[in-house]
Amino acid sequence: MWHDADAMRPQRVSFAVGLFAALVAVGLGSAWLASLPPAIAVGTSYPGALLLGLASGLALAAAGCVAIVAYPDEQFGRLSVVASLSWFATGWTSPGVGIAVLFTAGLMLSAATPAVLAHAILTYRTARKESSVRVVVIAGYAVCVGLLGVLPTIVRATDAACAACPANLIGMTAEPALGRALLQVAHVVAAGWAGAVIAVGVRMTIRTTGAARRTLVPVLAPGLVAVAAFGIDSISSAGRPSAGIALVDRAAWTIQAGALIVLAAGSVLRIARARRTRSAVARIVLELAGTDEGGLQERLRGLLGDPELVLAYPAGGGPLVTVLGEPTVLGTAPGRRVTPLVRGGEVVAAVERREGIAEDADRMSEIIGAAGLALEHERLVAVSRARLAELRASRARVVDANDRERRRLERDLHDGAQQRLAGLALAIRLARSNLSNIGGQGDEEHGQEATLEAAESELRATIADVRDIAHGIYPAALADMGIGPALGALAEDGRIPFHLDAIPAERLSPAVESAAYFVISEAPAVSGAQSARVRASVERGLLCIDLQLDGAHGADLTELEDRVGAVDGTLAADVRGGSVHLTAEIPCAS
Amino acid sequence: MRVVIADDELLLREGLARLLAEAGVDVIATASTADDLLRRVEVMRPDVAIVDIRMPPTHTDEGLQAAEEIRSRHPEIGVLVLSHHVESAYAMRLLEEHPGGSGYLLKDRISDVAVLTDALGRLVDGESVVDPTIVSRLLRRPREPDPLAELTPREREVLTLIAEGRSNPAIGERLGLSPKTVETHIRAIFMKLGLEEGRDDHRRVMAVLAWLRSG
Repeated sequence: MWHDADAMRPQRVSFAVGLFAALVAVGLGSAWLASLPPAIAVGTSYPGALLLGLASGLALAAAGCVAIVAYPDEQFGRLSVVASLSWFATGWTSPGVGIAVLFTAGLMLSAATPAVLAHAILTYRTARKESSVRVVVIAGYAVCVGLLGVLPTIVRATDAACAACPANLIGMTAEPALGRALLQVAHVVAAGWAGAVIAVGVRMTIRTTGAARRTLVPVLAPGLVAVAAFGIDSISSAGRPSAGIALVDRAAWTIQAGALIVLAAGSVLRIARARRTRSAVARIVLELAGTDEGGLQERLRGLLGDPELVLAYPAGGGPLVTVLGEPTVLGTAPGRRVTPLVRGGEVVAAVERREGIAEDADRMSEIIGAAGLALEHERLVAVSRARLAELRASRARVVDANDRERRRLERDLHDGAQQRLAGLALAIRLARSNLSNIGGQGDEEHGQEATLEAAESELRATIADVRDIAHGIYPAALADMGIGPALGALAEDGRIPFHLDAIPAERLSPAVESAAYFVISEAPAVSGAQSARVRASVERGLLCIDLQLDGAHGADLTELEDRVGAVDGTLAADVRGGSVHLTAEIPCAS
Repeated sequence: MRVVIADDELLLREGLARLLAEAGVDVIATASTADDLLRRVEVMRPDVAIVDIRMPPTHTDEGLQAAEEIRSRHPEIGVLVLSHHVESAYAMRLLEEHPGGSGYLLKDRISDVAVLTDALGRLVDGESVVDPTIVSRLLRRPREPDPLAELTPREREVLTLIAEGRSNPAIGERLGLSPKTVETHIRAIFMKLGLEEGRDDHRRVMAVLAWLRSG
């Protein structure tokens, strides 16, 4: 997806700013409430605790607001805001609050933080929810809100320790013994739940790989630490008969508060990282003007940590092509996934990548969004290359068909017409010898003999002509013995002086040999040259032809270019006065 | 003289057999494929085998391959290859291994019975035979510098006959020269071309042909 079409962003920014301001107010208010005498909560139990509680709540609130702006599609932002509210709500349970509604709400919500937190971290950055995650999240709300919040409030489990507390609006009975027993059970269940969350979280970390893990761990790890601290606190509470603040409570609370700050920082780190990625991509865009082909694919491989990533482009409704214009099929290998990159409702490219990177959708879209220009550039290059390859293939087919036709003609002439003409010459010769055997000496016989002799010599000339024509169409030596002997025959033809300074000794592929031969043999004709000099050699997998034509009147090289181009070669001409200098290079790696 | 003729074209094969028979050559067998030819040569041991260069199944150089096989199996049997190809490379391929007793003529010669019987006789004598058209094409090849230009017209004639595979006496007879004069000319030619002069006629042919082909 492309982020540049995000029209709602300004509205989200103003909403988030307003929300954060409100949360700051709530946080300050809650801290003030918590500090009212008799400040008995754990968040006020030691010097600096109040400040730490405020800081961690505000950090979480800030991270949530940032996430609401940056990742509106994800739940993390909203859940973090809720978690921060729940965190602040412990302050409302202070006996000094004085407002019954607030106090009651505080009793119900103050234990909810671990549940919301677990929800936030276990659904962080992932679209699909595994059933284990769903179960754990729902259980979390049941345990933290139900067993540790609403139920103790209903049975007024804490009222005994709180003589100065405001009214509990939903408290039904005041049975401290039952309340304590219920709380103890709730703490045991909560400890078990915390263990489950940690198990699910660890498994999630293991299953996530590469870049996705790098953004998941900074949030998940402190979140799990916070849940673990909550679990330890629960175990310790379950083991104690009376309420009150033990050392372990303070430690667990402090760890939770610290972990929340780390978690908030970790979630913001992802944005910083995305920004860094974006600037890396921006660098690519700048550098791309001079990069070699396939540069974007290489960069994406580096950025996404997938050395086998493939970037391909659709070419005119046909198959996908690489940046080199070669057809390719994506997503055939196991464990590989294909993401189509869409712009304006049209697929402009497709990325095949490792499965694990699927979870890194935002990183991908960051990269693709920033690489839009480079992508478009490469797409155009790929499409034009694919078209060029298609044209080249079609030209090669035309030239190949032409060569095969020439070869067929030459064979037909050789094995058909020439053989028959030779047979005819024999027949005439036999007729002549018959005539002389009859032994006639008259004028008539002499006349017939002369006629037959004339016919025979005419026929011999015809055979020689047909031989030359067949040779010109396609020299048999080219197919039978290669370019060397064929060029040798060209030098022996003597139509014009044809100097062979160097000819390749090795055999090359038939297509290359015939391209090279016809370029060399036809160049004098198309340029009207009076003499020619050729130097042909194989160097580093290239057949290099250097052809000097003198006494030429200029040249139409179209046909020669077609021949060379059909075998992926290049032809260059330097025309100066009466001379044409042709250089051709034909790939001939075998 | 006993010969076997191999050509896939019936008309040519039988016409040639009749023509040679009339000229007094003993045509002991004809063959239409290379395998057939090899079998007949094996059994009949002719003096010379006349072979069309293109024969079934692929019509490329089966005849030439058969000729090469006969020469290496039975060096005493001469081989005359008839071909429509003027490329000197085919003739060289045939002569390279076994120059003496190998001959390469263009197919339009077959109605010239004198040329044919001359060639057959020379092959039986262990000489080489190269078609004059091919030799004259070789002489046309441009050279820089061109040592051929330094040859006298007579020396040029002698060089041509050497390249066609003729022996000293045959050259002398052709040009009406004494054996001594022929030798003098040959020595001069070899010096001007910068060639080692061997006593062996066959090696001399090959040396000259190779020199001419090197352009």
